[in-house]
Amino acid sequence: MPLAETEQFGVLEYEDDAELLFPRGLPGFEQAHRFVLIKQPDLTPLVQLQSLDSPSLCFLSMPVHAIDSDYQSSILPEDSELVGLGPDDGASTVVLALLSVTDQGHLSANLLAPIVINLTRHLAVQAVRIDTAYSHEHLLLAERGPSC
Amino acid sequence: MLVIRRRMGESLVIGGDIEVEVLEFNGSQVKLGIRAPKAIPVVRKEILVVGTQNQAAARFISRTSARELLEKLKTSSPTPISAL
Repeated sequence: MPLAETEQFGVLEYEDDAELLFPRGLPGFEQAHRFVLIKQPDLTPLVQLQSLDSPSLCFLSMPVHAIDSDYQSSILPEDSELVGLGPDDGASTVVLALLSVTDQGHLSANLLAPIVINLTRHLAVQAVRIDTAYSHEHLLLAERGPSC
Repeated sequence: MLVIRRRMGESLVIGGDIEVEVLEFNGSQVKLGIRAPKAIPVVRKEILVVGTQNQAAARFISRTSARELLEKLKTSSPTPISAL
């Protein structure tokens, strides 16, 4: 099994088919193309997105439907094509929101630009919405998260 | 902010080598064509916002314990976070 050096998890051993390809990278990290999802049962519903290209690059995320059970996805045709998602091809997908802390110290989730993953084809994209239905700083916790 | 009125098919030029043409419009959307040198990145503004947000998200994880955070979310979220 392939190995990757990571800051969070030390040397990470992962299955070949666990590797996700972001053909365009992510905005702000255009060179980061390969990631793995790290799910730990006791941390459900948190999911960590660890870069295989950059040891220190790791995002904390959560399924959008764990944040808002009514979340209405909206993905541009160019983005769905990029990850091989058609209207009814039955691919298994996961939609995650990246978490961060706002300037005011509040924990927030980016519902404007969810990570859309085609698990069947191991392709992913950060699908930036063009509408204003959801915020890039959706408030989850109105105080600073603990630091370690 | 400079405001210029243009009709369909008309364009404007920025800095001599960037051309923006109005290709199409309907009630709520305008379709623009942009001709610019390869070295000039052209992105939707939301992408820039998301880029900044991603930088913040990447900094955030490096100093936050996911476990402690989950505890906080479970105990203090006004609407409980559902586990999927």
